[in-house]
Amino acid sequence: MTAAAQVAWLDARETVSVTELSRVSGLTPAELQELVEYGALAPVQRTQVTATLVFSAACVAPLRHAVRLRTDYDLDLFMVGILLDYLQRIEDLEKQVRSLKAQLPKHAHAPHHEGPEPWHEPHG
Amino acid sequence: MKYKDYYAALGVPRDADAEAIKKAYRKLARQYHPDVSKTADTEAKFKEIGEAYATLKDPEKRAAYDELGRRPQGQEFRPPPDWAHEFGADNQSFENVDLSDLFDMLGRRHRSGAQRGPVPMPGRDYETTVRVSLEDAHRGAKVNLNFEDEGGERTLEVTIPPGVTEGQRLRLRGKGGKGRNGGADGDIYLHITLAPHPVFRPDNHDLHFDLALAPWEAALGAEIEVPTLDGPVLLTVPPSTRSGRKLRLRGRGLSNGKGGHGDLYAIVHIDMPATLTERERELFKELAAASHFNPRAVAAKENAS
Repeated sequence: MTAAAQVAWLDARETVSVTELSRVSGLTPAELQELVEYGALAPVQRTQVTATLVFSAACVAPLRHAVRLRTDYDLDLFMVGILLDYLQRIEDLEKQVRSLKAQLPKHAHAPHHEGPEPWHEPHG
Repeated sequence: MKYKDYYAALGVPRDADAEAIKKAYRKLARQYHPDVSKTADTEAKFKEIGEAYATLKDPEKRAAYDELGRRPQGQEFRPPPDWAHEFGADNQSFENVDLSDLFDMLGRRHRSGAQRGPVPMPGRDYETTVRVSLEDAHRGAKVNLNFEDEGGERTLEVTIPPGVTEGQRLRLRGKGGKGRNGGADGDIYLHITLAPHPVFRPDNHDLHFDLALAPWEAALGAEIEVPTLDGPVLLTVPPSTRSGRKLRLRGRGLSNGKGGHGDLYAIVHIDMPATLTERERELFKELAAASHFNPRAVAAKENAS
């Protein structure tokens, strides 16, 4: 196996099968199915041949986090679904904040991006 | 094998009922959870109570644990002979086995309904955060990671592929702990963070930086050498460039690892000399007299960024 083949990118560019997600999350396929039914986990597609569920690899990290919290606090599976939703929202918001920060000029006078519009004379 | 007093870890009497054990655990879990508390001994303490609870909450495991009798914490002991048979291990190999792994195995055997004999134990997964420079994210890099293993500290060289961004998660298959009895090897999960760069601010695979222009450069346009991660390039600043305008250098951002590149954005801001020379003042005065430009007029908006 090449080095590249051993590295999986856990983002929306890659997908994981329900079998693989079960392995990496420690949840059984039945538990994953239950999360799908709760609407907490959304499969991206069903492969034509086997009709098994396929998920975006972006859900791996938050799912593992939620499962760890389940163990840590002895929560039930429904709570894992709730946590998954919140964890993904936090991650999305953090991404947006980073994106906005990157676009904000460093120097102090940055009126083009926030606050009131520059003042214009009404009949200039 | 070392004995661990799971009841003492949770601070409950040995005859506590399931509800009392759960309550005691949850209270301690809130107190010692690594997400909440950052003191040095928190992690060890949290692990200890987690291990205790994992065994005591399961009636079957708790019964097996109670069978060991009451011993002083940390005392060396040999599990009953039938345990070795049960787990398909000889007494020899019990010496290096942690008590918690034994109960883990018990649970796994129960779930999988496996027959007697060696129980496959998957290797441990490791999770760690790696901070890399923008240059390394762009080109890929080798980093050394240190792990606490059963066998002590272990250093592993891992390759970060080109194209990672802030917050990127990677899974290195089979690079974690070795599996036992035919169990799969564990994985390593990497959480990438990028070290702040003196010039560039990354937004996914795009890069932003601030480009300072002299008023005359902004007015007349200019060819300016600007930095990229792959060396300097010439950027054409068009005439009448306003402050705040974003000038895009297509494909000069971060490599995305799949053959493509993000874009590089120069965010213009127009700077001024701290003090004007006599000659500069004269020229600006002349300009002020000659120009009819009014930046506060509503109409003057052709150069929208």
